[in-house]
Amino acid sequence: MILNKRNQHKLPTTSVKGDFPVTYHYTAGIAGEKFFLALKDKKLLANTCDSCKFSYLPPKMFCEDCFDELDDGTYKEVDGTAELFSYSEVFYDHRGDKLEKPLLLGLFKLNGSSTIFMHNLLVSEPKIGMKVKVVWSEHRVGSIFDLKGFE
Amino acid sequence: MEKVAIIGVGVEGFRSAIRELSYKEMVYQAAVKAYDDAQINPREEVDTFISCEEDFNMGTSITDEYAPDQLGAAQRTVHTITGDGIQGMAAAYMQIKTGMFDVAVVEAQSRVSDILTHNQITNFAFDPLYNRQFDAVYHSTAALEKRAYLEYSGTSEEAIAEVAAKNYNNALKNPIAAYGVRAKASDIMNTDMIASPLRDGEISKPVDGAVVIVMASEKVVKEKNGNPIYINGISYATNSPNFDTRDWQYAKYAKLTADRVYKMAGINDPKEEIDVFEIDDTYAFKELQHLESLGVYDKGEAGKAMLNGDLGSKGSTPVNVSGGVLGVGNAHDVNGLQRIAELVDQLRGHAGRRQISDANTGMAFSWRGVPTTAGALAILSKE
Ligand SMILES: [Zn+2]
Repeated sequence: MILNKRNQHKLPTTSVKGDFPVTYHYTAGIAGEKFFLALKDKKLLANTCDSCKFSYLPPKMFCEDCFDELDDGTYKEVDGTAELFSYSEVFYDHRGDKLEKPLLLGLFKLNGSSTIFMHNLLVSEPKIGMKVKVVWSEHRVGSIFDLKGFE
Repeated sequence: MEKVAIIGVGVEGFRSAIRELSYKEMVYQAAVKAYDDAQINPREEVDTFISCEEDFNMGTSITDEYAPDQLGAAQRTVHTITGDGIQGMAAAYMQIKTGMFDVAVVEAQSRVSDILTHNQITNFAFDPLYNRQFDAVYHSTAALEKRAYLEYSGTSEEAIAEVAAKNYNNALKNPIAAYGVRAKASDIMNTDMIASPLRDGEISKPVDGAVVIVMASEKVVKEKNGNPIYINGISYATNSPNFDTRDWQYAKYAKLTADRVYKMAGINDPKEEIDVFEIDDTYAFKELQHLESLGVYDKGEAGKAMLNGDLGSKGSTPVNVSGGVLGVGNAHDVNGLQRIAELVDQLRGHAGRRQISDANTGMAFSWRGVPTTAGALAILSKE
């Protein structure tokens, strides 16, 4: 009977280790490509839905509210100034191991957009609502880390 | 319109690791209990089976293929839902409502102790282009949200620590809970900071376990003459998967879900009309944020209710007398069915030392955890 086997604890816990290599390349798409390529030129792009006037940063090809296509003509550069919406000092890495140096993450409301943008926060005394500005990386390749963060 | 009832519940777990059983054996144990409770033979009397599980968490591609046998569902009508168990119940509810099915079985399972890289799997759920590259533990998303909620609602850190302490203490009275412990708010405040303002004591810890629920049409309920608990309303909603367009301050998914479910169940004032609340507390602040977003309390009032004692097992609005996700343990997609199992115990009057007197109606709300904005809500009653 199963009950006896569960009670006796005499069985060794047999298990087999298994893993699986998982590798992708994720396509940025029409709107994402524009955004990442502009970062190389120190430009932050947003685009706006004609119907509801909601501004997306990063830009989108379609409005998730109206489901309308966002026109090419509505892309515009924002000035990189923002307001700090929330932040966290993070002490553990993505594996759950303690970080040597804590990571300061912020949620930013960029002027000229209606959205929230997550990136590094580069200030020593953060306060919700404080005004910050984008800091660019010297070496830019068209990735999210073309921005160093906001200070 | 014909009603749908829960006629059987089976729980296996919850423990930090169920080492002696394979995942199939674990589900089998829960299934046997549920079929005994419902007095039903799964090989002959069940019309449709639904299993809630995810490939990455189960460690197998196309894991749904492995769902049937341990449920007594071999060569029968089975489908899987990669979501919380209450989402599975909503699918079962709709199937019974078509009139084509009389008995439905819903199962959810957590085998998190088998996953050696759970943090990485959850991290892999983040948007790969914009969010995943930051080398931050996934709890950091909840931390950003907690700070936004504190700012928006004016809730105090003390109230949040009190929520965690309440739920760990409640779990002492629940034999299926893994993490019952005597705790004070100050104990919670003294735990390690994981990602500010989120401390270790506010974060639920993983458990293994499975829950199987048997649901039936009124026709079968009458034939069986058992101890049915009725589903008066059930639904689910997602706010936005995207960091840029989601609401960070309140849980919009809870509001969207509640609007549908209250209409379905004819609820006008949940605080007055519902007796027992099982509300997701995967992170302690979530219990308060969810109560406010579900309209049980106004913005900023849930924390005050916590400090007044209203949310305790003897309070006017008892929340998570089971111990919640913090006290029972975080069984991921089983969390919704954990909440349902507690409500069924309460409404049947089988909750032992946790029993809330005169419990006639209860609500269970689940959230799928970081990085989702997906919630599911069910309202159950004795009638
Ligand atoms: Zn629009």
